[in-house]
Amino acid sequence: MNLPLWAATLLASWCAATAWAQTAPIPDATGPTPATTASVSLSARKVYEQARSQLVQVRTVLKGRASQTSVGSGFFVSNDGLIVSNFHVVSEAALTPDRHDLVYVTADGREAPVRILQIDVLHDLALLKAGDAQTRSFDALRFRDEARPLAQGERIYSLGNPLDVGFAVTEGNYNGMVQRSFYPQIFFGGALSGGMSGGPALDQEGHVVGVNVARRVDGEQVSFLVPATFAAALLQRGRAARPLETPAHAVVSEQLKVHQELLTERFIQQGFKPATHVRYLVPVPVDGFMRCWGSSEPSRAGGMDLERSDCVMDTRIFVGEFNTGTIAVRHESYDAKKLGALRFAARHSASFRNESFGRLGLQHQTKPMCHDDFVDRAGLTLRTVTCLRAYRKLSALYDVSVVVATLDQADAGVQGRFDAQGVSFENALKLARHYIGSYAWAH
Amino acid sequence: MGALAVIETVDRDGQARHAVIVRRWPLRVGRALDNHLVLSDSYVAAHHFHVEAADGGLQLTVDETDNGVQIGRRRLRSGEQHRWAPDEAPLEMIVGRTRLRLRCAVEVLPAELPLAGLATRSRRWVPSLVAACVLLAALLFITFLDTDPDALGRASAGLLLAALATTALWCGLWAMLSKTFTRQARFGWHLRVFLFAGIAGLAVDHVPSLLAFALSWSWLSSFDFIALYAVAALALYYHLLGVDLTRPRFLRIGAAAGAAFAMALTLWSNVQRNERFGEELYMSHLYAPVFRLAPAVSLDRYLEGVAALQSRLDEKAKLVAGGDATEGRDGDSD
Repeated sequence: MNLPLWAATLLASWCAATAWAQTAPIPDATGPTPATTASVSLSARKVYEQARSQLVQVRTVLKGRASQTSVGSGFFVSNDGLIVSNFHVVSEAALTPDRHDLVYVTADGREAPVRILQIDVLHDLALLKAGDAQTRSFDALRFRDEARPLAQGERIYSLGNPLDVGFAVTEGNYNGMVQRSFYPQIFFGGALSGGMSGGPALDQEGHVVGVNVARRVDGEQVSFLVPATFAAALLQRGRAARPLETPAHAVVSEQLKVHQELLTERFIQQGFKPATHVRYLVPVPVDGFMRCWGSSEPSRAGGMDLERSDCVMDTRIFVGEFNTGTIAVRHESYDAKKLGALRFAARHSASFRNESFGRLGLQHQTKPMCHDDFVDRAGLTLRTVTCLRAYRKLSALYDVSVVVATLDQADAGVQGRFDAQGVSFENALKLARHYIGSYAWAH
Repeated sequence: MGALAVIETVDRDGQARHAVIVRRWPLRVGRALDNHLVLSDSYVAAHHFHVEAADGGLQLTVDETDNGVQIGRRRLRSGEQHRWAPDEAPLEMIVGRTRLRLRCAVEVLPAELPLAGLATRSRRWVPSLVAACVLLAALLFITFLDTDPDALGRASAGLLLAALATTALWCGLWAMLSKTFTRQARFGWHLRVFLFAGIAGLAVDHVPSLLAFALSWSWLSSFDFIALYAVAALALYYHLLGVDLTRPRFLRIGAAAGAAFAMALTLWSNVQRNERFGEELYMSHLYAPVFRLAPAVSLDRYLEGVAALQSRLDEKAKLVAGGDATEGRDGDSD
């Protein structure tokens, strides 16, 4: 069973390159979770009672069969049956509509089909329409006025159907916006569980401030909400849209193209940090929307000393079966004075060889194609490899990886790697030029 | 009457298993007991062939048999004849499944082959010893390159043990085969083949990558497996030569065919894996900067090479994943 609350296992303190996990681990059913044992305030009871009728569970079911493949949450935002949820809650139905249907279930057990009107993969939102909209009227939740921003520490109530157990409300706090996120996200200091994705987060007056989207599984009560302003914008854009009839890959591609243009522009614009190495200018991005982690490993066996820098984005775009739309930059600096030139060459080669370009399976991407050569940067020779993979269903989008090794010293050097996912070929070249071109002598 | 000839049944190694002195012609050979040489071979006819003197030479005539007589590459059928001069080299033939050799009294004998004496043996062990030292030094050097200083002693000891065990096992197995088929172990022969092949293998494994680095010939290191297979085929040929001395041409063809097959299989496998004939996705061998000879290219020119990939990528992306879409590695989303 898939319970998509987008659980972001973002960063352990020692490594910036750990992966996302789309599905939250299901806790032991015999023991209560902290969320269920927390005492619920009078305000929470009031908020839940007010929002109960606007709250729905969104189920993805196999077409022609009753079996559900995933469940999430959603809420009515108009009297004519429009529902807001997460894209990742409805992604199976959006991308493979020939095999999946969507239904919504209310807190009192009423069930009806639902159609997708509009998706916003960049903010992980979807606008749905109830199938029984023409025969009934719906209570709708209202968005909080943007002119009244939340204050740090203000109470927020998150609603949804965690783990398909039943509708629930959890209390938490507004902790400001997530730092270094490429797109704005609210840092919610409360517990979210799988199945609550797409549910509303309400202020004390019952107005929508955000949409449940993700949590960190390596922390306690570190959760994330999509700001309500994006849901309101989606509602405005999609109110009159026709339901999606075919797989949404083309829509996803178009939105990713917008994203990669913005990503490329901002990445190039933000530039690199100065003084990243004593001998070279090694590209390490500034911490605008990326987070860099460093480590140092002196050899314990009289070998090579190593320093490492890993820079990754917290933001990744979920497009169904995988994530994309992110950039990562890393480098390793080697000092093998104790080893000598011959041994350093062997280690330099081994490290340069140990690169993988097989992030996704062949059902999603082509095999990598690479071009390698020795590039001159004002007298600094770089061994450079650029590998690209094209997406099969996301047209004209590619993953690009650039691997660089300096070759001017016999017993020391730097190896760097740049990865950009889901970019156009033109931007892949632009980013590769920007990255390779930033290697130079320090003085 | 003195001996005119001797006819021998011969083993695979050329040793005579059984010999019959011929004191008069004709000589009759077959399965029936009234022949001069009786062969208990089910594939031999009762009266298979006979040899008689004719016009100062000898003439072999095939009698009533379906299987005939094979001399060299030629198979003589029933009623066919073969003539030869008695002072020529011994006539070798295959009758049924039996190898026969007919030597005439007037045959001009080649000089006696010397037994492997002490002097000869020491001369043959010298190159083996030199090769062993070179190979061991090369392996120790590779271990030195791959090991941190603190762990070098243990790694070297492990290498020595592994090298000794591998050599003994490999050469021992070949020696057993030689002993089985030729009655001689030929351990020294197999040891020499193993040592020289090892040295050649290391050379063809490292020289192309060094040249590729020095001259910017990335393709060279990607195809070094061809030279490696050639060395392996040569080694196999010489090992087999120590097992079967009688068919060197057949062994040469077999080893060459094996190498060609292995190369074709590797090329096919590379295309399946990387959609290119070369083994490597990119040239990854890095050496000290002093070995670089070719000039580096500008960034613009390099990116022109990257841009050229687009059409091929787009073409592949349009193809339905189909049967080759089974390699599922996803470190990101699952």
